[in-house]
Amino acid sequence: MATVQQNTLILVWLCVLPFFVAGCAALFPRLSIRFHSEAERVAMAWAPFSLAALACIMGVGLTASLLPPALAGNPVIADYWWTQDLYHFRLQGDALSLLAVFAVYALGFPLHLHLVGLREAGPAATDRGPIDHTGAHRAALILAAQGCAIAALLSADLIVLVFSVQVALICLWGLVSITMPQRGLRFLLLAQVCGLLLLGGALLMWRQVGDTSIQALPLLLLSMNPSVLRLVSVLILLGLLPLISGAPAYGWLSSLLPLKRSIPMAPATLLVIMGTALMLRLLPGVLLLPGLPTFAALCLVLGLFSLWWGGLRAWIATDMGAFAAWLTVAQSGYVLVALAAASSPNAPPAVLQAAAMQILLAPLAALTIWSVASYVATRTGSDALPGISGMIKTMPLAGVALLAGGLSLAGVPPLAGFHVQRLLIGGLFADARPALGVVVILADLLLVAAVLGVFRQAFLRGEPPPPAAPASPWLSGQLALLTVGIALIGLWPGPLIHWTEVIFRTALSVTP
Amino acid sequence: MSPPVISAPAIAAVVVGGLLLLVATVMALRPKAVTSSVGWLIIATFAYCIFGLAAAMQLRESDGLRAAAMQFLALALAVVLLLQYQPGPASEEAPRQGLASTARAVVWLTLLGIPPTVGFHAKVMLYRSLLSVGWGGMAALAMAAAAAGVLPALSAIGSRPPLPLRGARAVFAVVVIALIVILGIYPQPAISLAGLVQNLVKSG
Repeated sequence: MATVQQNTLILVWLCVLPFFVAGCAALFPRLSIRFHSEAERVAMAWAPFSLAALACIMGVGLTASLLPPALAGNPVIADYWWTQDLYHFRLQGDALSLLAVFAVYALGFPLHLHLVGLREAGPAATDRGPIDHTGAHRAALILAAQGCAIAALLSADLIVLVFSVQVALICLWGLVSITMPQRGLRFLLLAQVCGLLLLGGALLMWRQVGDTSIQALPLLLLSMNPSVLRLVSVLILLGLLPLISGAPAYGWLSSLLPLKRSIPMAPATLLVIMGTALMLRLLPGVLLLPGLPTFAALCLVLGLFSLWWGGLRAWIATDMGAFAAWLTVAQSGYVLVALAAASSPNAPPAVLQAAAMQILLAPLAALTIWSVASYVATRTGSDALPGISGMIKTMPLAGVALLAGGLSLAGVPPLAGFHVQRLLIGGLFADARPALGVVVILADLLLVAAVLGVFRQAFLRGEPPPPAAPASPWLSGQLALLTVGIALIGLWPGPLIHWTEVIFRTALSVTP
Repeated sequence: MSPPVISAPAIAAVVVGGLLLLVATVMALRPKAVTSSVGWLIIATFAYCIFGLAAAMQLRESDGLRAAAMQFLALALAVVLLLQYQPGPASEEAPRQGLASTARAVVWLTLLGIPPTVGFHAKVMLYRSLLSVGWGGMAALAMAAAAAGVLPALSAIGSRPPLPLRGARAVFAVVVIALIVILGIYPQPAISLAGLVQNLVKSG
């Protein structure tokens, strides 16, 4: 068992402190005015973004260093003393959790670079001129939400898990409320409802077995009354389902689009990663087994709805931002269908493996589409499909990235998403559920049609392309990085498939 | 095994607390109660304190007293923060002040028991103490009331921004907000303080 020394972690985070102090200058503009000249403030305005990007790099490095022992089947544990007698803030990284953490950091890094890119685009691309303090607040809130999602993924105690999930949702509430206070309130509602359902399940478990530790869960629950166990599992499932389904996203996601493109993507994707990984982590234990029929039915209904509703809305989208938003919703549908299929007693492990793989690949592909929308909007001033055309000549990189990200989401070979679809559809047919497999294939075809339709409208039409501003090196680099990443994973899926197999041998094979 | 006998004082406390919680939550849920809903939520929080006391009366070894003290601490901090506001609603034209809006949100979060505020730990302790004496129904009622309380919170937080906080009031508000959040993230000092109160009462 690998144990992380607290001193090492504290030392690593102390290195961030100077950047944090610099970032505060932009986070608190009134203080900044007193201490710094205008030129100094302009020079330091990038600090919050670079702080956040640096934190993501450090997170990726730290997670990568912890992955080898986790993939070898040894849990990585960091014990923090939180309260003396109530609950311990104990972090435990198994392979699945660490892969999900990796995905959260991987999502955050380009996101913060992207914010830097938007800043460099100048006043036309921002709301308040070159020094955009709102952007700094957003950067801080995204970072906080990321941190809480990571704490939830790694927490070894159900009460700490509830705490972390709720704080992550509160951070997302703040993030959305900066520009849309009324719509952001849905996150507050979600935080309270999901939190109380999860807390109810955790406390019922504590009442029965006197402990809320996740590690000892399967053995502890053996002594539990079956009816209470069923109630516990249903409460926890109901608490996690809204996170996976992206339910809060349906109503308002597309209406956030006139804002910074990456901002609305962050809450939806974070929720899906966090909810899915938590569900996968709790699924194999006894905890969720009694609730499987309920779980499967709810997952399937929500999943098919998300998949088809998102796909259809993407197909009829009139701007690239809305297209990206609805593709993101559709992605949560794949995860839910995979989880529902995995609940079948005879389901092959491939379907659950597909859900685990989707945690890593869907954010990558969705981020690519969001980046294309931002790239086009930043350079041409609009991403409305009727107004843009023939851009393959002026922005070939954006066209390639759109195809790579979109077709990967639809599972077209040889891109990364193909391996998810291969495992999912193969598993469904192997489990004698061909009808569901055909429904998923049809949804894939719908997504392919939507992606090709947008590509044809924006890049292939004969009209002259709109005038384009010079490309930001940050945004161009981000697009190139994401496109190459999707292609490389698709062509060389070995490590990813190996990792998901390891998850089954370790985290997901927990049985009483 | 026969169910445990509930003592008369505990029954009285539970009945009073339950009625108070029901009435306060229903009053807070009225559509026109945006301005008074926070007052009703404060009364509802008193009911949570009474639940804790009732649990302590029923089972001396339970954490009820500590939960009640913790709940009272959360309530006191929320009320102190609330008192920093100037009376009177802000006009539609008044600029939104981040500090005033944040203070209002923190008051609601701690009253509803949403992290990262000290109110979360107070609520968890209370639910645990109710469950430890076998009052699952009362714990469910308390959780349902906390869930219902989010509706007036949505109306209140979504309403017109409060008057800006200035000068000493602003500084004091920052200190109280920091205290509520720090005790939410690192609750041990609050738990120790509540434990001290519990020991004092028990020894008395």
